Amino acid sequence: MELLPFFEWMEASLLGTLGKTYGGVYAIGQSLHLMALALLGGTVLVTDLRLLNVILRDVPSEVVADSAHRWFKVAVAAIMATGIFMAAAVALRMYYNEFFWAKMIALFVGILFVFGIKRPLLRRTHAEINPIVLKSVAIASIVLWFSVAATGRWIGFS
Amino acid sequence: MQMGYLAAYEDGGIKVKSKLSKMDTLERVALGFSVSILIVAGIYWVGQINSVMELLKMAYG
Repeated sequence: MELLPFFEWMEASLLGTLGKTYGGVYAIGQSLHLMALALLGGTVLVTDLRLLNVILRDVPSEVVADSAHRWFKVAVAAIMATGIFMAAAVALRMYYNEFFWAKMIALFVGILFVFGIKRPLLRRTHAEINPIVLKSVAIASIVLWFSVAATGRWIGFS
Repeated sequence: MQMGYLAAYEDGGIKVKSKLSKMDTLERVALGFSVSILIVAGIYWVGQINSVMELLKMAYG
């Protein structure tokens, strides 16, 4: 499937023109994107470090996971909205950037992993889940979301 | 290392079952997916670090 026409359309769209013309609007969008990333990273780390028994050991892991997941959903929605706006302004540059595609793949896998596997698993009583599975899921989640953040930052340097 | 629970058989023999067979489908899928993520991410980041090291060697000798 050829995506170049879509990226060309995106850059020429109202959203792309807005971001390219008004630097201040782009800057606000990017700031919101980074704050949403911080929120997402926070919810991921709190949940996964609790599953690894590193932090908040006096709080049931089910409580930590459920509470953090609510804010994870808010963070993902904000990240997607601001990310689309930012990508529209520099769409063609993103199309030809390998780190943008690496980030998109990691983001897609991350969302699939959280909503398709991690959340259904963590809805159970955690004491009944195999500890090796819990720890593997936690470590994989940290590595995956680190990859999203790192490749995203790398876009800016490439 | 303890491998899991011991299953008793009618003839009195016992068999040690690994913890893997005690997992249900979702746990196995979660474990498989997690291990795959770690392997792919590991390959990707090792490759990226190697590329950066090559660039630095070219730039600084």
